[in-house]
Amino acid sequence: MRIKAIFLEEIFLTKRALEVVLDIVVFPLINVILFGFISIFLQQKSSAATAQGLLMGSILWEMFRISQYTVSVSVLWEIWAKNLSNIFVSPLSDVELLTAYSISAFFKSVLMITLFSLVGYYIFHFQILTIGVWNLIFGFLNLFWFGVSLGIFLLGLIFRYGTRIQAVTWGIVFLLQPLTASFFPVSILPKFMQYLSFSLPPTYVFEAARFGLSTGQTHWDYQWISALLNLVYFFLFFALFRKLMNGAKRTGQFAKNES
Amino acid sequence: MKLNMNLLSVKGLTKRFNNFTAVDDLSFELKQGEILGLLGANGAGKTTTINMLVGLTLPDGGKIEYFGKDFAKHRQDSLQRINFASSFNTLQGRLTVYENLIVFSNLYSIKDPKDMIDDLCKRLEIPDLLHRQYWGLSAGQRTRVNLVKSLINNPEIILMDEPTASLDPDIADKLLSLIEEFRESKKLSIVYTSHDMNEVSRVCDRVIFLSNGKIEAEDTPLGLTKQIPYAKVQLTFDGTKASMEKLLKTNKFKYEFINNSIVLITTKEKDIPKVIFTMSSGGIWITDIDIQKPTLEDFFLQVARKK
Repeated sequence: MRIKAIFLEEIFLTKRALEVVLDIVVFPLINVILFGFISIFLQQKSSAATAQGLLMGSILWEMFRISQYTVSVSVLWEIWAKNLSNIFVSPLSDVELLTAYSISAFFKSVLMITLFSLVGYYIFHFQILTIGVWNLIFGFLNLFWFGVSLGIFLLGLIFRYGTRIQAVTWGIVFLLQPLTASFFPVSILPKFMQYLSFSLPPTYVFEAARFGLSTGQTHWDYQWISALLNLVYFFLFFALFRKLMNGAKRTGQFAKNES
Repeated sequence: MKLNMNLLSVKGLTKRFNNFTAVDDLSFELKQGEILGLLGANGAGKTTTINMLVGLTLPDGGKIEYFGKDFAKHRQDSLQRINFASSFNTLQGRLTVYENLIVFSNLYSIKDPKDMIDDLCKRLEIPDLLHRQYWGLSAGQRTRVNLVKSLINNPEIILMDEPTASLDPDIADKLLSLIEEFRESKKLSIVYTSHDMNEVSRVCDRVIFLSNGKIEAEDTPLGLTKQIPYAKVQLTFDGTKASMEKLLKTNKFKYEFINNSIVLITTKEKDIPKVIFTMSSGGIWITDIDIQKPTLEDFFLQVARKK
């Protein structure tokens, strides 16, 4: 019931918060449309696969961003509303809170990938299933998982350092975007950046999707590497979250977050 | 009311922030049906204590036990049976009152919460607010909604951090009446912090006075005021200020003039009759007498100024 409570709050809030609708529906949709037009332009100037890769990258990228955003920004709503203490003096555990945010992130991501895929199909004649059903399902799950893991880590940072670092929750994706090679092959990155890139789970998803787009086959190796890396990041980020949260409670910052 | 078993037991609670000790080896108990006031100047350690009691801040030492169980080990069980109300916290502004209360009903695993919400809202006279967004409510309405939230799990203990701050006297009075009513009807135990000495005197059975994180004094509100041996006698007189002053000096009274016809005499409580007799038999016509017995506020000021 406690997980349901937070999930319900998410639904109520999403219904009424224009900011959330803008952040997870409108702005990403504009982004997808923008990349759609760029892909049409590129189709005329270069290969169709390159152009479609760009549109595909933008759709998949939003899956990662929406899941990370949902997990880490949801708690900011509690802080802004001065409701965080009320939530945390209830019997709700941190695992229950994170589970509720993850469920919410999953539903939002599924709804949005459906919407963006339909927009891609009807406006830009791009069929997301071209990358392969398994590439899409595993890719989606891997991106969602990394988004949630990163969101959990950012949540810990917010608890520990307060809202003065809240911009990181929106900004970190821009740092990761070039590193995960969402819109271009990893091979075009400088060598040292390639090492960094291959240490991140989304890179393998984008590479596998591009592979699927050009061959129609599932890149199982990349999907599994992505999943294994996700496992490592999940436990690492969760351990850091716990450490940061305990630090926030020890220093008194957790109680001060609302003031 | 019969006050019996300890619902909350705090032993040697300590919290340090770098070199500053906010709470220093604090020990106290809360009995069933008791309202315990935590008083102290700003920075005395009240809010840090409350934050530790609800698990928002981790203590550096000591032990908190709810219902005979260690809070650190039985966090969820304890939090299920207690609740928290603070004027510094609000609910989700975008949500309606009902939606907020449904969220908290689920957080406390209340089955079929609608009847509970309806009943509490009726008792707090806010059923018409249920479908209004929380951010559109006045401070008084919000306080009542917060109180409904803090009663939603039928708690045995409520921790209240300055619940009447920012309320006008009328709404504050109603809130205090509600607290008194719920204490009687539900046998609630309350830890209550406030800067308003009058309301602490009114609702609290016992008061712990904190200073620099330590217990400076602990007694009933009346017991604390009795620790101040002095009272003030305000005399309004018909005559010259000079003749009054001469009489006061002759009798070695401690005094200050409010104006040319009113004087305030500070004396031991037991000497009040003697003062009045001396002044009235000294040839000065006394037209009004006002005896100001020490209050909790005087105690507060005495301790605060001593520091």
